[in-house]
Amino acid sequence: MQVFGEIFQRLTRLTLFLTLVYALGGLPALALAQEPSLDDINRVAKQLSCPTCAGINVADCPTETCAQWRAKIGELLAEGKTDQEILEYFAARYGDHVLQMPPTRGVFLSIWVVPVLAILAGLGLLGYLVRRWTGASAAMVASVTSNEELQDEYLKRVEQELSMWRE
Amino acid sequence: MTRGEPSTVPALRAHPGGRRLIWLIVVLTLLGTLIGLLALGLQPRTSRLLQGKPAPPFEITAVNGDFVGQKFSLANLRGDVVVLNIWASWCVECMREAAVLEQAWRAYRERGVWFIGVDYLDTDTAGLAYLKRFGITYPNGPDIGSRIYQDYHATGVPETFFIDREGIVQHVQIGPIGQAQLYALLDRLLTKDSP
Repeated sequence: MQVFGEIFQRLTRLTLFLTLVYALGGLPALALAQEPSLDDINRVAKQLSCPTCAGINVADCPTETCAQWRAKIGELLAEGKTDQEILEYFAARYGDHVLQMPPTRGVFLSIWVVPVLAILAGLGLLGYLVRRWTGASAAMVASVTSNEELQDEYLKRVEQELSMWRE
Repeated sequence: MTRGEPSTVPALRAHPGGRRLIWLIVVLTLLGTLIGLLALGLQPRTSRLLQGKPAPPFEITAVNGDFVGQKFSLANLRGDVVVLNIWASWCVECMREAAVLEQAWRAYRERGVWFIGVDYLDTDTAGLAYLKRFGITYPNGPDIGSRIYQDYHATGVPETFFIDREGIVQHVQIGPIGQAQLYALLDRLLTKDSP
């Protein structure tokens, strides 16, 4: 019985040791798993505009500013921030103009609203003009018809009077 | 207009030429508004136009040296000469003037001159590393929301605004400043309206 007890004790110690080794060995792997990939960073960076050059997003920009911003995106992703939280951070820190997709607030709201209003106004104007044109052509047809009727009556009368003369 | 007399607009509407006139007025008004807005947008907005005008208000929270956490605004610096320098860690030209600005701050701080650094479009890490690298001790803080840059109509970095004791922008320096010019400007501002 004593032998079994000793074996059990040794097995317990071995198990504890192995668990500790596994846990310590697993830590760097865990850290590596939390490290954001280049794809993760670029996914967010593509939604931000380079602040010092025109028309380039942060992911595709070779300037030092954008390199620093990509590093910051990596830091924030590693902290567990969501894409939206990161975009909000950048907008608050550097201004709304750094967002590729303009926000739906303040002056930027007009970017969304004005085109819709312009399209609606254009459609309204088009509808009005089409109605006006079709109305005008209908009136023209009516007037042409009535002219023809008048002409018919006139010709009839001329014929009548001529026939009187012939007789 | 007397009672029973037709009002002008309905009378205009009734007349075929009048309707055209209404349309013309509407179109001209819209066109005028559009041209006005375009003209407003095309108006030159450069920092140099601030010279001789009151400096726009600003506020920064310092991140360096003895001033960490302290707020600095134009309002609480009124009565002193203020040198507002907009810079960025990625700006090579800013590096050329960094040592000159720090030297001037040390030389003039006892004479009522405040140097304020505004870090534009930088990350905290890069900004702090820059301040440490050039040993900058005057208050520096990030330009949150790029507000100061926009309010001062800055055209790039570095740009430095020299504000007198009354809060009027006396000089705008676009690009890096040399020591001789900087000291001459500060001497002029200090003698101009010494209390």
